[in-house]
Amino acid sequence: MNRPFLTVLLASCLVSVLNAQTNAPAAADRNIDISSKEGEFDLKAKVAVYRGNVRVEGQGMQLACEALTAKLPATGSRVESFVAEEKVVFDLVDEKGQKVHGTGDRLVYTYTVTETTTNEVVELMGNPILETSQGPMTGDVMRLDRINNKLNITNPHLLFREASASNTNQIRSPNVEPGQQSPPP
Amino acid sequence: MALLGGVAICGSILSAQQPPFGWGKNFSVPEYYDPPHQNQMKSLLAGAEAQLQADGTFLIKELKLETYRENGEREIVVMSPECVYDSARRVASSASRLQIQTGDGQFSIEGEGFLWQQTNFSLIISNHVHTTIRPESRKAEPSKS
Repeated sequence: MNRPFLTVLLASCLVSVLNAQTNAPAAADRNIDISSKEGEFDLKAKVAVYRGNVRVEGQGMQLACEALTAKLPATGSRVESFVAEEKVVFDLVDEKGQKVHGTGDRLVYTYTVTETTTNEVVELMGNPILETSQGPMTGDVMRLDRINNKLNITNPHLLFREASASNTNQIRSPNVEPGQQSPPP
Repeated sequence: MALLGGVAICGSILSAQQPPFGWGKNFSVPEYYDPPHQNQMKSLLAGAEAQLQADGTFLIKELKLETYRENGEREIVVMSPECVYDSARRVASSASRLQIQTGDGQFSIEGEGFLWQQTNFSLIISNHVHTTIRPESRKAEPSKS
């Protein structure tokens, strides 16, 4: 598979990721709820560490993991950043209800606002897999710019699902183009 | 000095000094900022009952701790049905439920079983942790002083 074809395919997948799934966003998505087994809070520094069966809902996101470190909002109402680790599973839903599903070992979320720009970026790494209508995609690092709806994948691969004898979907990971680099954002 | 009513514990639970009485009901103990904000309440510890333990700690029922900023805005409210408070170390701990809410209502934490270190605003919750961040908040309430 040559690079232009892969680029077109990635672009196609991205369009599919961002447009094909149009589940309506939850009505009560305004609050951000974080639950876990254990938690440690530095209320001066506004840093929280959650461990064990961590769940996050809100801010256009549903996320599950085993450990999460969050920088809580000093002002405003959004979590400024968090790092989710271990068995990360997430669904992102934008304001139009478009949905992205992914898994990985580590997810880094950052939300920054300046006088001129707003940035909201999700980076997925550690065996990251992003579901698309064309099938699952993977790479070294997946970077999703939620403001501009742009996806950048370092060393992108396609994964092929194969129905087994038990009729369950299993993922094998033939590298479509080892060493390929996705186009710059 | 704001008293919620009933019998106040004489002596400050918040200080390292041992109070002269071993128990109190419906108490409240304020702590004030140093000058030049000496008239501004820093914290208000209240409870339905406090009992001095043999080790010098207090067993407090229906704990409610409020802290205030120097400008008088309420910072946080901590509530628990029961906890042990170590006044010397300014540490509270309990196997009971805990609720914490910021003064503006924007941020709240709940859980069961906790260790609260007031000196550095550090909190450890050992079970059923739940945090809620609300996008709209009410203005922080001023202190009662």
